[in-house]
Amino acid sequence: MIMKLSRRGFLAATGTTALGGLLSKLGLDLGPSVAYAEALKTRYAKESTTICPYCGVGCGLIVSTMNRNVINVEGDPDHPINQGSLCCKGQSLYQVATSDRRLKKVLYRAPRSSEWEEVSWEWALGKIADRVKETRDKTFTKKDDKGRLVNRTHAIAALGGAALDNEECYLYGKLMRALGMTFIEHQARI
Amino acid sequence: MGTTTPRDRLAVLDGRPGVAPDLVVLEEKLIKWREEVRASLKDATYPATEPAPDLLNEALRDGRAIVDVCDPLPTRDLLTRWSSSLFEVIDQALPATKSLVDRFRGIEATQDPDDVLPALFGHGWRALDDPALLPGETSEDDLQTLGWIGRQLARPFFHHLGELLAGHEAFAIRDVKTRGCPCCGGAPRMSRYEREEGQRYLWCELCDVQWRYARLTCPFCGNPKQETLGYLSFEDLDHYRVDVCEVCHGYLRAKDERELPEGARVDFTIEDVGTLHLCLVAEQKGYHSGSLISEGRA
Repeated sequence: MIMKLSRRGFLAATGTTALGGLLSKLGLDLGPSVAYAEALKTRYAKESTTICPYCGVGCGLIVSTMNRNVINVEGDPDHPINQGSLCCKGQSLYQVATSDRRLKKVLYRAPRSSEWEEVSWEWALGKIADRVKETRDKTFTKKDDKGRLVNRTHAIAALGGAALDNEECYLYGKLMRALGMTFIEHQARI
Repeated sequence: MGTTTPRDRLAVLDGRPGVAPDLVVLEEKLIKWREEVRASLKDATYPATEPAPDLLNEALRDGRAIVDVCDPLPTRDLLTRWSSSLFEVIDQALPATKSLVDRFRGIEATQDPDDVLPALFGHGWRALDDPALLPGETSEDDLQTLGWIGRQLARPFFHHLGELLAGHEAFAIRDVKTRGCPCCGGAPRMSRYEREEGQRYLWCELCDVQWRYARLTCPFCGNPKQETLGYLSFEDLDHYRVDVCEVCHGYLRAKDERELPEGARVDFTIEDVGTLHLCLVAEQKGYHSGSLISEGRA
């Protein structure tokens, strides 16, 4: 069916030949367009901007989703850093969301085991906390061999991801230093 | 290389599903007519006063349309000559409008042409409902049809204006990031996603001008909230989509050049005719043509 516009509405759109109601009034046969429109299968999708998670450049992305599923990832042409371009890793980001090899649950492999087992987030985070504390307690050094106060451990290192922003990096640095770590890395570069 | 005729341009629509042959025939005649008008304008005084470069710069800087500093109304001679030939085209192509056109001709003959023809031009350009247009009892349908005719009358003049301004040293028209057309201030009619990096360019059919605009902002109401923007895509039509805004309910057809064969470009005038079905789908879903929104009348 072709929508009939009100006069008021039409007056602002005069000449809009795409509006079927007007064209019908001009005496044109729009049957083929109407029939095709009625048969067209239509999908509704949304787009969101985000930042590439890989390196420290921070390229802008536009992610299209349909029913909460990712259907496309592309460079954001309006982003000041990459202006629409993406490297080969960025271009394949779609697979990060859609690959059937993507991990969606926490897997744990016990020391000396060859098997992975599925565990809960709660269990995994508790385990990490236990091991950090255990390692730190065992290896913590208050003073170095010259008697200087150092309050550190050399048994744990930290690697920050490229997708961390300034504020997250600040918190990450604070937490690691509070634990006494000195090997703190972050991929804020290519 | 030979000259590309309107028929050659429209040939890409041959056999394309959803295309109304009546519309193609009409557009072929209108393109020919516009080309004649454009050719004549090369030797005519149009626009009457070309704006100074500093005025253009100022308008650009302030985000105003160029018509604010340059009157697009043609002279009486030009309007009389080309409205008359447009009516002949319409007589041939749209016999259903003949009685209305004849009535308008009658009014034009008895009234001051300085009132009637500018009213038709203004009705097509800015949707001005001027009483001089059709005095007395006038139906809604007649006013709508006259609006369409006025729009056709205005198009070649605005095309000329758009081309003059696009070629102006001070006017990098393709990089202007305004919501309305930088030439006439009107709403865009279609858009394209550029082949290299996917930038969005909006197109004004009145001025045949393209300008760049943000991908994730509504070109009609300026809404930048991504959660209220979306698009319709269509099975078997990979290179087309219709961008929609859930705030103003505007829609805009788009063609993605990235899906086209190497070297192929979007010919908006032709695509406008060939994608009527996309408008029908959007309107069925409750979205409005963008020009209604930008004028605050939807």
